[in-house]
Amino acid sequence: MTIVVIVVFLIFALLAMPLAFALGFASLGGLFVAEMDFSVMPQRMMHAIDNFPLMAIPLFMLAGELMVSAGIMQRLIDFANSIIGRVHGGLAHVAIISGMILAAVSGAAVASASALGSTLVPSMRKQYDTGYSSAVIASASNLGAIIPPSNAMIVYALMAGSSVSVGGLFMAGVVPGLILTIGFMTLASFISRKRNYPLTGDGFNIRHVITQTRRAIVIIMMPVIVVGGIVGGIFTATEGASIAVVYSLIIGFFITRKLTLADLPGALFRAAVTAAMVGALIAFAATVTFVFTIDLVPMRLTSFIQEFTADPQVFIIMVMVLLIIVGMFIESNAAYIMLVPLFAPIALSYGIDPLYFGFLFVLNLVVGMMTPPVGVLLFVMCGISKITMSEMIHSVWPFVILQYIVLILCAVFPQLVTGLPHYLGY
Amino acid sequence: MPDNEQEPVPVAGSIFTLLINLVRGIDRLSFWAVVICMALMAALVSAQVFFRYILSSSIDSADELSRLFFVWAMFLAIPHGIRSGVHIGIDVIVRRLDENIRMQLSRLMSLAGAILMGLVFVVTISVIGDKWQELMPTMEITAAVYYIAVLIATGHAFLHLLVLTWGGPGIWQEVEQ
Repeated sequence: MTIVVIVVFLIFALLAMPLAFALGFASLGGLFVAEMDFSVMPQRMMHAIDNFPLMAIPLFMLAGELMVSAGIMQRLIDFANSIIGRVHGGLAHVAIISGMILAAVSGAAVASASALGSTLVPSMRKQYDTGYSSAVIASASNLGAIIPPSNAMIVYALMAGSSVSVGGLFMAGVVPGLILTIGFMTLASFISRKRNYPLTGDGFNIRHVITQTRRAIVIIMMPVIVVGGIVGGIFTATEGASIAVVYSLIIGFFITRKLTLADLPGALFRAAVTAAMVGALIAFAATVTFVFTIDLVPMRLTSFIQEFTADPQVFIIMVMVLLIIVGMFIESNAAYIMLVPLFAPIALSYGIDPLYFGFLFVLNLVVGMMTPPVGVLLFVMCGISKITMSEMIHSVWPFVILQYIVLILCAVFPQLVTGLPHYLGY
Repeated sequence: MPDNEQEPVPVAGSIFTLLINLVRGIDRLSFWAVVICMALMAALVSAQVFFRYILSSSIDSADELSRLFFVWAMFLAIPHGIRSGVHIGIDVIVRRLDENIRMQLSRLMSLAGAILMGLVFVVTISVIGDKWQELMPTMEITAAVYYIAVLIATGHAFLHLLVLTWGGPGIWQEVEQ
């Protein structure tokens, strides 16, 4: 029945049916062949969603929506501009720094791309070409899934079961996230110098920096409180996300005073619909996982791979190569939901550190969000900047290569990933 | 917001117009249901955090109720994702096809999706019947209330997919112009 599930899924998925529904058909195929009652399906769907940790995703998305409605983008941009505006590629640096801070607020790459793209692309395209501007924004947005809090890591931890903690994964992303940020900024400087882009922004002025830091500090404090609380074991990711929502409401209503009651229904609705995309995948994939489990697929796959190689490094390389290919074609959330339950237990059986494996898994699929042909961020940026996909791909490839270099560095030097979480007791 | 009063109505009198208007009406109701469920979920989790960490107590049933609102919000939002196109598929192969064929294939996939939703809808009715006597662990409410969200979502999604099958993938843009 596993073969039926895979074949049915592939047929519908390759005919461009939404992946969640293709998983639904695959489930029906599996249940039909196994002669099981179809009533398993709504039960599995409901139980998959009825999950307290999963609630962190819409809540973080809501916090991000509220923060953007509260007008934090201009404060972030002004803050980044005061620090690093007057250097080569100044506006690009502003976008990257803003992306890094926004990443620590929203936890979602696509939401960051929409917020950064709509606010920064108009001014960036006056100084740089549109393709380059869009590539910088896409890269800065991609930090959203690496720098904590990260919705991608929440989904990974959920799918991996109790083998890995959300807080540990969050901490695993800090050092690679900073390396990526510095790497993006270095690349942006190099490209700007090479293309002789003009200097933009005001010169460095300590008073101006202090003023802008004061205005931005309430925003910067949010990830410190929320992520700090989760990592410190004070509260769970879901509780942290609810604190982020309350914090965003306070900022919007009382500090920036740009959030109104009329903004709330739209923000709640958008957060729900975006989270429901992940929810639909999880719900429909639940029956597939059930069929795989009763057909002993995880056990069979484990023994097959262990017969093939006893070397954990070879296993990691195999998974990474598979994920690079998968990341090019399948939306990352779908990939977590389908593949993590299969590969995370195998990684454990090889004695691989679950934080190390989990982070490499996430980073690989995060880079996949920027690789054609199915790079979600590329589509989002093409929509915002009104450029063709080929222009976008032409501009984005140096940033994609840089991310793969960081991925290889993390794979070769596990301490970059596991050093901080291990130091903190994970 | 999915809809507003200014949206023009397509060719009046046809069954398709009735279907579009029916889906719009359900969208409007469902929009507010999603908003209310999300708001209640966020409020309950936040209140529980406040009680737990500030007052060192807890609200009875808050965890279960917040999960219930979450389940409802997620399932009710799935059909809206069909309208706004958030449910992503792999279009690498399909994009290379002739536009006419691509359009027909998209309608066929919508029809297949509608059949899937219809099937899950029917099966969920029997699950609700089976669960009706069962109570939620901390409240005197039937456990079937969780599955009612699945029923509404699959029924609503069925109608959305029927609209896409009938009118094609660009129907909502056409209707709203």
